[in-house]
Amino acid sequence: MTDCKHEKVSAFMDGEDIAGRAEVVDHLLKDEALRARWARYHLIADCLRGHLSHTVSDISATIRHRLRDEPAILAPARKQPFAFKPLAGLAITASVAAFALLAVQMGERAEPARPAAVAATPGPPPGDPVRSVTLEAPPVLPAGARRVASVADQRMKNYLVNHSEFRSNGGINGIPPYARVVTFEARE
Amino acid sequence: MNKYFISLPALLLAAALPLYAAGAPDPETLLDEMSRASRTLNYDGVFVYRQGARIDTMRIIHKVGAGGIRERLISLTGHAREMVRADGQVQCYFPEDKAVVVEKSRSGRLISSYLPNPVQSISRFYRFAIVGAGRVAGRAAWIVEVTPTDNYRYGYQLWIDQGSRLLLKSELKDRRGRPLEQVMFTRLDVLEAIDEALLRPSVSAEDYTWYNNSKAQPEQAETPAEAEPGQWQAAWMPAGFSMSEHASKQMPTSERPVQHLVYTDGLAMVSIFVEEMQTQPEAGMGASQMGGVNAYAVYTDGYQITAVGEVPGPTVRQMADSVQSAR
Repeated sequence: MTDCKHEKVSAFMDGEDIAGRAEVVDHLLKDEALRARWARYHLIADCLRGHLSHTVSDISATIRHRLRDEPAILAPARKQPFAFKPLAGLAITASVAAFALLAVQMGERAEPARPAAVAATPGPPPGDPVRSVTLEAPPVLPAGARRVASVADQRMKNYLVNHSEFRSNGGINGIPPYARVVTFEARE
Repeated sequence: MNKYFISLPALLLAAALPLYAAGAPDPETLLDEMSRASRTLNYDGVFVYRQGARIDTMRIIHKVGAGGIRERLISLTGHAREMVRADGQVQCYFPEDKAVVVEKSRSGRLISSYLPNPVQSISRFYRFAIVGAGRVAGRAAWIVEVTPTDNYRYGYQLWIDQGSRLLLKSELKDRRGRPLEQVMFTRLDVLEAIDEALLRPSVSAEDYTWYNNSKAQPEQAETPAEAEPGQWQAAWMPAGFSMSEHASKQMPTSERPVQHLVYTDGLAMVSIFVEEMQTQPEAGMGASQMGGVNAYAVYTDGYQITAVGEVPGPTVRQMADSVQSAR
């Protein structure tokens, strides 16, 4: 971990148009200390502005759980026969993670002057698959990203229940139907 | 160098011989018997369920009767969640939310509920082999390997009880053979009869909020025919997959009924959910994974499309990306 990385993260957070933004997000996701620093930057900024958010650490923890459970991303395969590579998935997940973090900030702040800065912040290089995901994310943000995440989780839980419903005996791998539902999110 | 090429197959053959000498059945027959055992036997057991870095322990009580299979699943770790399946209904108890979610159970109604009969019918996409013998939950087991013939599906390793033919352990494996999800019984009792009381949930659920999705909506599952105009479908899927069912249903998190398309190759199953949304949801887009289940969500033209299934991430992603409305 170098100071250069820290500077880049700082610049990234401030919405500066820096080179290698995708790389910064990658660093953020891989590096525990860097992530903590990212959270601290935001906490400090929020304290200064009088918008202290208690949800920052919660959200980043949730994202971390999600990512921890993605082996394909932690160890991307070198040769994939598919049209796209796991790395593309990483980029997207990374930008979603970054967006969620930003959403926390915006959700808590909700100042009309800020969204422009945020819209410019996570923009990846042109042609990068991250782009569509990041930019399509609406500027309309909810009261708190915690709620956003929980609605998405609840939706996924419903999808899992419905997916399991079509497997009355767990299929060949013998995982009893609904075992995933019973354990989903039980990690908190 | 040449020596190795000659001796390796010989070694493998030598290693495999004692197993066959010990009377290992043929793998397809064994799988058919396993499928039948799960539908005809009563049992009460405790199993460990590992996905990614997490481990859970669950108790399962499984009772077979005239009315079909009844089952109770109790989480012994983390939140004390329970699932009770009986009389065409599934009740999921979430004590931490003080909520009960009731869903319709389609027990035994679909081809994807069972292994295809005979198992051989899917041998174009999977190879079956008995690779050894082992011991799980104090019971002698045959080890069966199920290997996909392409990269769009996962493989399995199964430990099948030599006596009851019940599944004692299973591993869902990625294409490099690393286990993604494991289930292993630590105790399994095959029983003549099971007390009714064991199938009742332990929580009274009096002050719980009930989300009953089983009758709010008349059953709209249909056997797929030719795609009708406006019917959503995946334009791409791995060879051997086909749509086995599509349904439309109301969910607590959705404003309008969600379209649910089910695709299967006989073993692996992928669900595609199409949900109309005015704006793109703020979270939950892209890839996510829950043990061996991969999900991929995209938002396009006012709809969130989510593919969910026990297949590699690229498979759900390509399927989700290919979903379109038939014209």
